[in-house]
Amino acid sequence: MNAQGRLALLALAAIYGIALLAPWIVPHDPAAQYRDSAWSPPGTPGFPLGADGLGRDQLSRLLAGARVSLLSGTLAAAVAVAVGGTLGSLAVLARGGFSAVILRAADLSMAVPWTYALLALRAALPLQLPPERVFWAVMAMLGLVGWARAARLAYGVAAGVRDRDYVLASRGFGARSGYILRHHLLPEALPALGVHFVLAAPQYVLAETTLTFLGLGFPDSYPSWGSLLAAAARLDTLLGHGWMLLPAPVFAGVFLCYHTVGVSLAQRWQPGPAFQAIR
Amino acid sequence: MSPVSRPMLRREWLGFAAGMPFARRAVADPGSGVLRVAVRADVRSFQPLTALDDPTRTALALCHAGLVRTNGVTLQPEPYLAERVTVSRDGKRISATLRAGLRFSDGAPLTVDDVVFTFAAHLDPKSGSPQRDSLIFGGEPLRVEKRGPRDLEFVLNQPFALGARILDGVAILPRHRLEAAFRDGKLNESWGLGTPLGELAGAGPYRIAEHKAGIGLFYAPNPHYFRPKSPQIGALSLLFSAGEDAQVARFAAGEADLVSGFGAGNYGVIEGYAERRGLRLYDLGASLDYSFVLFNLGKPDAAPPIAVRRAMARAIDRSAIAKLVYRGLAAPLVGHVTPGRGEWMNRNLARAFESAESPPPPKRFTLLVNSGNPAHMQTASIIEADCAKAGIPVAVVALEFRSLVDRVVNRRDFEAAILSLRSGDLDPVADMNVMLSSGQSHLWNPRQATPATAWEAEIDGLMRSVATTLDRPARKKAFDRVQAILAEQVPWIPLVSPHTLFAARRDLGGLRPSLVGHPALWNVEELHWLRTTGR
Repeated sequence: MNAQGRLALLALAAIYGIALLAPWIVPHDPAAQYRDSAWSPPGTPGFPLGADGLGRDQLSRLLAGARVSLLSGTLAAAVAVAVGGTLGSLAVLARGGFSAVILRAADLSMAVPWTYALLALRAALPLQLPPERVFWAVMAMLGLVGWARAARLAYGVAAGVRDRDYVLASRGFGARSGYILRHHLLPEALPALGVHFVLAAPQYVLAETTLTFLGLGFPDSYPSWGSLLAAAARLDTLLGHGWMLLPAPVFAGVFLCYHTVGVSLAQRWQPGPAFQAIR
Repeated sequence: MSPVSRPMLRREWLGFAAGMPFARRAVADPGSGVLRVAVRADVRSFQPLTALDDPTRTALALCHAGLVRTNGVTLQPEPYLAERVTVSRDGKRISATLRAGLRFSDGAPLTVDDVVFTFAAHLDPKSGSPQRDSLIFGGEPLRVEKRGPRDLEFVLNQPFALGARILDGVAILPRHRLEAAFRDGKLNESWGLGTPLGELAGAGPYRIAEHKAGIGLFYAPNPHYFRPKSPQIGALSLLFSAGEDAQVARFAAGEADLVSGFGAGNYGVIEGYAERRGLRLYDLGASLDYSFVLFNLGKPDAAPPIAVRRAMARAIDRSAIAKLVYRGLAAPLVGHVTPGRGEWMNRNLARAFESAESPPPPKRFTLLVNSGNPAHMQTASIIEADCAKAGIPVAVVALEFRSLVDRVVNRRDFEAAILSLRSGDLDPVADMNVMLSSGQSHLWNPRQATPATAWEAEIDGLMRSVATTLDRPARKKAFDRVQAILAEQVPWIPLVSPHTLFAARRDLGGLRPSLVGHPALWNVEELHWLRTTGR
């Protein structure tokens, strides 16, 4: 990994560290409303990043939201890559009917407008979900939605390896499918999947915004980056209280770090066709 | 839009050069310019008989007219296509005489036969008219009888408190254009968006000249409009913009001359541009809209118990909602009757909340809110915090609007929800559909065959007397009692009434803002551009 990549990784580690420590370092309860301090601009005593329209401390909401959004986005990306990578590699091994079923399911999954699928899923869930369960539900849904791209990627890389001499030799010596999967196919696919994970994680963080709008995300009193963005996206807020967009550069910085790490990893591991496609 | 003539400019310049600028005043510039109105959605049809949604009703009201029109300022009915209207002493007969020489926009004469046809069309269940129920009195439909070439009599089975207002809002339809569809029982399919515009006809001030789907609706003056020298503005267009922010941005950028229906936040946005761009903001005070927390009383144990509902009603800081969410441009409510309907408000309701009873420890219940409505989302956060302070655990669940409506209206699968309603009129009769236990909008337990509770039965009786009693103090007393029952039983908790806001260019004259209907377009034929001139 080059110097830029290392620096970005370090920054990400620091940001995740702060996010994990958020409950202990936030200056205020992120849901507490100081109604006399509504729309306090940044720098107001007690509100370094200002307060929103209900008088909630923006810094506390940014930190608490980082914990929720970064962790749910990262875990969702991990679920998507793990499920997709395994299924894609299995499809290469199995060939025939099973392979066709997985690949067609992946195609179908990519063709389905997932917003509507999630709406249907929300309708099936109980209304009252505590925030912790919402966290897991959000993570699982995003993961389930995103498995197809990872499966296609894993299939593409593993299929290129499947008929290489050393894999055929291994099979000739009696290696079982599980062995070939573990020792030949997955190791080839892992770098590509790793880069896919790094580049996809920010998208999952942003997807949480959409989920919140659909009622699948977190309640307003439970801050997430999605709800911070939604609050700042109104015309009157942008024009009258532009500083409400202060969290946006933080989000941009995090996503830039992810991208830098992803590109750096791609260069380090294998500048082959699969990585060129990702870049 | 308001052309300033060269001689006038020269005159002003000469006056200025001489150190004696002419005093400037605005005078009407009849027949000039285009009025561009920013609206939020396209029309759904060109048929006024079946129009339900606000955008369609606003668009079609410009090209249709009824026998009577409610004056937006005095809120009293005035003869419109009718020359005069009289109501009998017992309130059961309304006589109307049409103006002489009325014509539809296609040049065909408008006669008593068109009026009879219009009411027959509204009363035919196959037509799907949403106004049908309001034309049925004591189980009998309104009868329309021809009394002469221009004279008609409307006969009601029982008195109607609002008298001639029954004729308001019923646009007179051209029989010669729609009779075939009516005979075939397909009136509700007529005048769809695919209809050639030449086939449409109405008696309002404008006719539709062009419809560009998703872009705008463009009007030209109706050459046969009965009022001379009207409308005064040469052309009018409704420009569609998706969402309130886009609508306001379009107006602030000078792409529209009039905008309404925006929230308090965007009031501040327009205020910032007002001086530079020559815009004027109108704040008409509390509107007829009201937001409320609705409880599901139709399902056993779905809503929290009455003691908890009362405790919630006491705990919610409506002033904070008005101040923080609506930036002070809303009135906190005790009952559902807003200050905009002042004389009908029961001003003794506050006492209903002054109870010292402590509720049993409640279980956590869900409060649904429309995730696409930022004002309702913030309101929910305030309610959640206030209830938490009072020891009432509330779980706010944000749902996309259609999912929310499906749960609340269709599946009745909810505990509580934040919603808004609009009273169509200042008079309590406008609340009939909400208050009657059999009403479709009786939201806490709709469409009951018989009233489920004694208090709902009492409200039914009181509301029927409000609609049929001609004595105003008696009506007021009955409606006060309705409000008191609602405050005691708490099937909903009224929250705030947002102000009616709109904005227009300063040089738009003839505006007579109204709380009922569109705040600026109800007298569209009187609007005109002002040109500035010297004395």
